Amino acid sequence: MAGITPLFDNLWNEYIIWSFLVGGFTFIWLYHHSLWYKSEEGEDWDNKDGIEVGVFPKHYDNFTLEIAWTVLPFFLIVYLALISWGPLDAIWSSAEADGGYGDECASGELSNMTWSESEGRYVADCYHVIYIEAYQWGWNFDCLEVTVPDLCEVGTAVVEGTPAASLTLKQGEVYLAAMGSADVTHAPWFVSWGVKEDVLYSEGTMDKNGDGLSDNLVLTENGEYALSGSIGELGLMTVWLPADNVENFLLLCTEYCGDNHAYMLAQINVNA
Amino acid sequence: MKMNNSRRAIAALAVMAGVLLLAPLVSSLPTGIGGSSIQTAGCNCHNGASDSSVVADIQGFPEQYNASETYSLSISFTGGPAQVGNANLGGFNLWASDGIFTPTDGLTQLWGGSVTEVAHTEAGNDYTSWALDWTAPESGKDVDFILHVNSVNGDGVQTGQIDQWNRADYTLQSSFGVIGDVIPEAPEPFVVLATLILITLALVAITILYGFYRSDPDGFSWETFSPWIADWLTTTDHKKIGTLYFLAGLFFLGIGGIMALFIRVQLATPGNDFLTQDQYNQFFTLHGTTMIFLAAMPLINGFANWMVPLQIGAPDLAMPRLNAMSFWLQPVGALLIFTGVFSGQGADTGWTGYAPYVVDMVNGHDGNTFWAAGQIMLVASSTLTGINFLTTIAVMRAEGMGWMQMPLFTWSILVANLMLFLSIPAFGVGLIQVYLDRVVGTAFYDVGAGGDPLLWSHLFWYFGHPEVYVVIVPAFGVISEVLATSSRRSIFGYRSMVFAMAGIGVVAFIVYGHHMFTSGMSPVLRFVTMVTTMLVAVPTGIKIFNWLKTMHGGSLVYRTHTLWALGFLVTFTLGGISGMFFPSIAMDTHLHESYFVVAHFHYVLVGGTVFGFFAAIYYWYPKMTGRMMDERLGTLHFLTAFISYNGVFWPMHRLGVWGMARRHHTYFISTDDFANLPPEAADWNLFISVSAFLFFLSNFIMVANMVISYLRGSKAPADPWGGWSFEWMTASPPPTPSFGRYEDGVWYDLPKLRDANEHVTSEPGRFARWFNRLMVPDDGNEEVTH
Amino acid sequence: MSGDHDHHPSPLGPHDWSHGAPHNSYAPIVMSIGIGLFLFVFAGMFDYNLELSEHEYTGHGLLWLFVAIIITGLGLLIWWRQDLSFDGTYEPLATGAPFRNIQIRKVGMFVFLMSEMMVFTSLFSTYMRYRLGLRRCDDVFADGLFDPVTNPTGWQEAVPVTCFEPASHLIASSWWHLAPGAINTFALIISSFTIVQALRYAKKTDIDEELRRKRVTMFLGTTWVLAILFLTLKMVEWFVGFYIPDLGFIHEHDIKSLVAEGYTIGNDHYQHHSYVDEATGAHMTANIRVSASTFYVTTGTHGAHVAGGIIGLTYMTFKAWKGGYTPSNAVSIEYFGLYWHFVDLVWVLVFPFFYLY
Repeated sequence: MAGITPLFDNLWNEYIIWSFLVGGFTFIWLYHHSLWYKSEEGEDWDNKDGIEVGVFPKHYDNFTLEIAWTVLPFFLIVYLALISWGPLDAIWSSAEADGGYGDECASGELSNMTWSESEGRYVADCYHVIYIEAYQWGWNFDCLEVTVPDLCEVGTAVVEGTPAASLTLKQGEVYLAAMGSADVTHAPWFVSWGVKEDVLYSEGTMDKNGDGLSDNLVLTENGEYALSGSIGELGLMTVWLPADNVENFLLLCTEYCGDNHAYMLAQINVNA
Repeated sequence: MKMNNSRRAIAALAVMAGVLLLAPLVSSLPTGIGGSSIQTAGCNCHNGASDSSVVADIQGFPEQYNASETYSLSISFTGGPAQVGNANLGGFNLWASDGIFTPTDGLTQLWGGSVTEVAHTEAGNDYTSWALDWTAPESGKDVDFILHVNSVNGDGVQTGQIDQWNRADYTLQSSFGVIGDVIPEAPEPFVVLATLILITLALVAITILYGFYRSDPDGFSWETFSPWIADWLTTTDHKKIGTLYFLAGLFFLGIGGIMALFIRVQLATPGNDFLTQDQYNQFFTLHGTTMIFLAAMPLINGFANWMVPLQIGAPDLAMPRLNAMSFWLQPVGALLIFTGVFSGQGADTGWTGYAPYVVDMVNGHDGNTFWAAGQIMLVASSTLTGINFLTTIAVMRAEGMGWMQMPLFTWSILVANLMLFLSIPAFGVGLIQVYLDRVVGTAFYDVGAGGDPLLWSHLFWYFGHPEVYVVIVPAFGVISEVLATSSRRSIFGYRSMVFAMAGIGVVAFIVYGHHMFTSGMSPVLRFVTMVTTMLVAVPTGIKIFNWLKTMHGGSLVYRTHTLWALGFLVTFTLGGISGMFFPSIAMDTHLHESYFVVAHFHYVLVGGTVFGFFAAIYYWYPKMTGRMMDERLGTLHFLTAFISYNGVFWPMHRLGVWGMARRHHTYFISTDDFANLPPEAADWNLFISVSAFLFFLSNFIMVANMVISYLRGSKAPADPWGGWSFEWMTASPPPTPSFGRYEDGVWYDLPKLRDANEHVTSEPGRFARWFNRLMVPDDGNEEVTH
Repeated sequence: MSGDHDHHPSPLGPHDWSHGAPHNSYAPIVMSIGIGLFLFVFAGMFDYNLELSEHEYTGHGLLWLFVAIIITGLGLLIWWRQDLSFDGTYEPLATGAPFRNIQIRKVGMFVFLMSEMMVFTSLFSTYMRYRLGLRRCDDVFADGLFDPVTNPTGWQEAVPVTCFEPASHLIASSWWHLAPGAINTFALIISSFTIVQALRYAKKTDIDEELRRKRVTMFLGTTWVLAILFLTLKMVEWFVGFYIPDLGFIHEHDIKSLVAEGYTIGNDHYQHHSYVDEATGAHMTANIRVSASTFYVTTGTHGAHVAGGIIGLTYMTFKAWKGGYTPSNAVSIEYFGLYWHFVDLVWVLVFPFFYLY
């Protein structure tokens, strides 16, 4: 299958292998027994468990076996939990603590994102912070203080005859999207990167000062928008966007939000 | 029972049912429930009747409106009475079902406290034409306009030469979503649904009448029919209530299936417009709600009602009248849930009903209120059911039947009801909060007032996750019974089966966080729920391996129920394996809310619960009706249904990984401009849709089998399959009361369970003796009454 | 055995309880229809005003609401008619361990209380979520007037703050405000005692029937009166308020109800009398819709349980007056008592959390 991210693909492949092993084991057993122990026509069967109406039949059990298939799956699960644990750093490392993506980039600085085989994740020198706001039914992007057009650019695209916002990013850069919702709960799905995160309508994303923008943003002196506080203070949701390949893909909403939920689209472009 | 009594009571019930059916109509036409009076009752028009000499007109409507675009409308009228008095010439009232009116001058004003209604002002009374702006809604709904105009003679009184008025209606279609391909006129999907439901109801009624006729062709008259139907309406017998549950469950399984077919027709090709997004959203909401609450749960309750008292050797459930109450709350709740669908205002939140959309009064449908109301009734029903079954199983087991000698189906019902019972109050409270938020304006989920949408998610999933186990665990019980009996062996590892089931019951309460991996939960909690969720695989694995081992050394008799049980093992194992992908959070962020999830839960809910209960139907049908089912039709049903079922849901895994999102009424195939789904996705969707029709139709083989067997099947012996538990001891069908004889306040001849094992553990253990001393005072009634 | 043979068993009325077969009953279906209609009509009685974003009571379908209540009541009456003939001939006892020899319906009641516990747990979770998750209005007020530099967490004149304003801020502000709640607490505790007395007399085998009838009726009636007192005082506290004239030893008090004080679910400009900045004269206003919702719905749910108890007590008092309770079926008073103690216990939790703290 087409690769999503190495992060997803590695886990996926590992899980598929184990699925085949467990499934194969079970199905071979199932097919063997259902054919091998088929009752013969007119057979006088051996009632070894003493099955009789109104009598609780003899116990048919084997302690060793039962323990075996309690413990062995448990070990498998411990193993699967361990391999699922590793990549969590890449998903959760918050902007505050150093999570492998360094600090926020200075103006014009590049991330230099690379795949680290030893850590099993992308690493970068620094990241860019952008802002995404969801509303019924569309997306607003803002590059905030990432002013270099190559690194981040907001525009519009036409998807199947419907205008939609577009966001253009640069390959090899890491972005931290701070996200809010202007009405109900939405969730952007960056299909090619295998990530999605709910965005909640919260106090910070309301427009209490009435300037037509949510109160998350303030206009700075140089005419750009900036976050009006730290991401944590504003209670914004965040998601890491590692732009690893040159591609254009659709951004979908994956938290049901009303009539035009399916048309709540945006286009993400990653340029070289 | 006196015949007159039942006749009168049935008449009263019919009136009440009529009231219940008519009450929605009172305010639901033509634009849905709760529409203001202007559309139905007319306007504040002068004098009573409309007059055709007055001709109203609106200029400025587009052919089809574009979302959010503003149009200038100009309203005018001609005709009416001659001018006699002051300068007042006329007035108007314009109502739209959606969008926003903006008065552009001092002659018009918003009316009735709504932005969708506009009227003239005092100054505007002096004109016969007015201008204003209308901004189209963002969605693609059809918008209805109703215009009333008054032609006024200006004498300031209502007598003498009369003022005249008239009305004009307009409907404006959206251009949204139909760009490029305009389809020929299609039937309104809700009308189709209503028709199908009515046809189904009629078929059920005819079947019942025919069954009644066949049972006694000579006694086919109202005089015998009315007590017969009254008996069904008032019964408190667990077997009859079980049958009612069962019929209701099958009925709604069909209705949910019809809605699934609508969904599949819509998704058969990309960009299809068979359903509007508005309709699609209602269909998937009601499909989920119907299938979980109105199909799966009643089917389970049907078998639980039938079999649990029989299996534990009890004459009936502990509280028979409460049992009847649990049943009757369901159809009425179902009626509430379906309220508004046929006028296009049904619930559109998904079965999860996430806040804050569910309390969104602007975009959300009015039906959401009734969805919550209906669910509240179902919660009450489930609570009463829980009380009944927990009590019955705890206190009414036959002599000799300790906890560890109960049949596994009874165990599964106990575990399921315990889970349900402890979790559903949270859902109930959440629903009451939503209902009050929507009706009286409390602010539990009003984010603007500080409400927290995640609170709903927590309350819902605290219930929702145990709920899916509640639905699957009884199927485990069925499979345990069926496989052991068919293999003619005792179930392998009875004790580990029980502990596994209880383990699932306990773990169920600490895993629900995995539904909220992408909702901003704290990383630590996410990790914890990831581990606990994976742990569920351990007891489930134990059960699957135990079932497989049960066949070992047995003598497997192939009956239809055996086939379904083996089919269950296949599909449930696949569903269980795909379930392991979600707790791994780095994968879940991709798979969450995709068709991979849809595939997974249909594999466990259809491949698990429904297949399990198909097995149960074939297994217990002879006991319930006294007739054997046709094996050849049964095998045909299994083969067609099993194959088409996998054709429906297996490809969905791949669609989900490709990036097809659930709850979307359309999907996008990659073009030169952007990547989304590969072109094969369209073919697979068509394949799924065709398979869905085959799967739906194949199940009618079973329905036909049940009807034909009921009429023509050979008589069933008491124990046709060779099972050991008590239900095989009574006749088929069982008498009432199922066991024993009641005389002068004492039960006689209740069954006693013997144990083929050497040690007998049915004597109360230390805990039970201590507990008993605690509960029963020494001066109390020590005598055991049997 | 003393089955009541004067009545023909029917699905609308008395049963012959002695033969053990299932008894048909119209009560479940009738009550279900009534409840469904009630929920439906009630939802239609309010309109949402899009312009003001407010819910308004319109009163549409008030007649239908009464119809719904009457239908539900009819179902209840059928249920009671059937129960009236129940004289304890067959009070089924449990056979399975660990409940052996315990009345089945008592086990059922305990199971029911388990679910009731979860209901109130969920309500308390909601309360805790908002109580701990939102800033307290007191704290916001204490922060002083809004100044973006020195005091970014403060408030502004005429801009409502979204914060948590517990009802206890009003209620616990004076003894008089607290009085209805405090009296209610004692009323409920005493009623728990009287219901036990009713049970004790009903169980007594060494007194004559007439005395038993009188005592049981009296104690059940007292419980009923106390429950009515509870709801009455609650209405006073919520909607009516009360007035104490100057009696010399007591000063004049005009205690306003919570609603009159503006503590309502719709109030987004609430102002407590203490929220006035002395230095500047500025008033802090608060959006208290969430706080009021949790208060009214939680205490209201408890109130609904008391109301349910009153309905049950009405019937039981009537049955006691007819001499329906004998030592053989006295245990049904105990079932109700269990429920009543539970309602009492919940109040003992609700009172400190919502009225004092």
